[in-house]
Amino acid sequence: MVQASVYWFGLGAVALVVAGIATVIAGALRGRLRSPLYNVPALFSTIAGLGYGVMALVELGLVPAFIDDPQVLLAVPQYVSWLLTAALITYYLGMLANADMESRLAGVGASVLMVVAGFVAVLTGSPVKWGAFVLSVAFFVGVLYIFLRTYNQSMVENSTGSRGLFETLRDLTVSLWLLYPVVFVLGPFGIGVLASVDYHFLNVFLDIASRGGFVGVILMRQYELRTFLPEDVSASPN
Amino acid sequence: MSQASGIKRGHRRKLGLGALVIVALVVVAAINTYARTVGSLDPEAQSELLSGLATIVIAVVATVFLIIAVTGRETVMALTILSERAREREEGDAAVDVDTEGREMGELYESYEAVRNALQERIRESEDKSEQLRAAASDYSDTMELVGQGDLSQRLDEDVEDPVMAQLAGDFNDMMDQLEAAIADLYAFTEDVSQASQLLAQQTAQSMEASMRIREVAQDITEDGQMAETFQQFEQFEDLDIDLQHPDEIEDGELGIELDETVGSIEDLSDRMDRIDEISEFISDVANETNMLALNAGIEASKVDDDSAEGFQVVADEVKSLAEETEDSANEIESSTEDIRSGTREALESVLRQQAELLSTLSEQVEDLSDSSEDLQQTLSRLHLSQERDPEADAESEPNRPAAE
Repeated sequence: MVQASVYWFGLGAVALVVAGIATVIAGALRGRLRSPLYNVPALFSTIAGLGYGVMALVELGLVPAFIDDPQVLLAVPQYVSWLLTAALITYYLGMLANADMESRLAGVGASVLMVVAGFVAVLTGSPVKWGAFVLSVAFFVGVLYIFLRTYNQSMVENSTGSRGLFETLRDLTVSLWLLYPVVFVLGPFGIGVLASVDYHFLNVFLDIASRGGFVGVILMRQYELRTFLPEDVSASPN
Repeated sequence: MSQASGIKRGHRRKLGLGALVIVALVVVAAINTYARTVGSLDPEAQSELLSGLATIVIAVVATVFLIIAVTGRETVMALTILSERAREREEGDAAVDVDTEGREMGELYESYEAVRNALQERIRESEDKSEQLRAAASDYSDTMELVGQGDLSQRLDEDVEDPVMAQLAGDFNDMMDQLEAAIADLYAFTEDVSQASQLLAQQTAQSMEASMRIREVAQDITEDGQMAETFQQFEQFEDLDIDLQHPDEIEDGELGIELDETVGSIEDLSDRMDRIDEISEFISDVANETNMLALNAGIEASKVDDDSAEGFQVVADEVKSLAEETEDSANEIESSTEDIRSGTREALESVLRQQAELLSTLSEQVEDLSDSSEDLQQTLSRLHLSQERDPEADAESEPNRPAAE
């Protein structure tokens, strides 16, 4: 019998890959496919979708189990996906905020360490688990600081419209990322309130909402993208 | 912008409050469901129920966060972007793009674009009207400049679209009609004054001539041996229609009548000066009305937009300038009239003084002539009596006359 998690993974894979494809099509229609404003969202959405595709395959037993614990085995593609997508989202927000490269890399580093620490918490048992979790939360706080202060201060010279788009994506990311630690604590790697299938359902749900929603906002307001970078303004098709 | 920020803050506050209520209701419902059913379930089912309820709560919270982050901001963003576009429009960039591109607030953007197009149309109409007003004001300025140079036949074009300008032109033309009529009357009175002055000069010259002849006659009479010439002078007085045999009737004689006519002419001239005064006052009144016209134009200029105000102000300045010139002209006329009146008064006093001196001289000289005439008659009488008493002496002396001759 196929596990319910497979459906959720399949749903997440389809939704996020479709979101990535839609972004590629939108960028191609506007002749902006080579712009990071389009290809970065397409990339992290597709990566997230592929991650869930891999997880579906793992759940179906189509991928060789190189780790004995099936939950940890599923966590590998999950955290790899999160590692890449969180880094790309952080970089993309820094790009929209017109932040300097140092701030962007700091954000990317914090998000990477946040995911890595979370993955350590998955791999280890108490009390290291909770130490790694606290460390992950600490890096998450650092990411929040970069989002809410560093990137925000870089938006001073931007127009109100472009600033609004950044703030929408930032708020979406911050509010939904706040729930990942909650799910972790309540999930199988935490206190075990959530069953495994519910834990994966919530992760898929949050990924679709945060990654897919992120791409959806960009597609809805892509005309605002041309106000972010001067080269995009001058090259923007009318 | 402050109004848009207020709307945004209020919208976010309502969204946050609604989200909090939804999350609270879901949590309460989950707790209620778990509390009601947990007693009848085995431990495994209790765990699944708790997991399911926690999942639902987290999913609801995630959904609410998503709605708040995306939909809430997206809604107020439309207001924000519209406010930004409006501010850019206010700063003069009429080409601000309001492309909707299928956005949720597309209809609002399309409405905004319609408003923008309507505003652009209004701006074009306003610019056209302003240009027409500027052209009309330029024509008015040229016309008033010609009027200021003395061409009182010039009139402003009342056939303009702007009712205020048309009213201004009508008032100005009425004022010019009155001013032109007043100037024509002034010219006519000036002509009369000129004729009266010529007549006065002519009559004064005749009086002076008569006076000189009388002085010459008086001098001739006082000299001896000039009797024949004296009588010839008397005959010349007859040419002047002066009756010397009746000195008491001199004032009723022709010379007195001519002097009275001269005085009458001077008094008539004074009356005409009074009329000129009245005309000057009338011109001053017209100048005051012109000033009021300029003031009205200035007030109208303050009521309209800047471009139109420029045209009104030009007209107001021209009208004010014309009023000042008219006032100056009226003052000059009044000053000239005062000079003429002063000169006339002096001429009248001079003529009256000459008339009195002439009559006094005539009276004295006529008395002298009367005395001389009596002496002459007595001499002739004595000669006549001596001829009657001694005719023989005359006869004796007659034969000697040839010898004597």
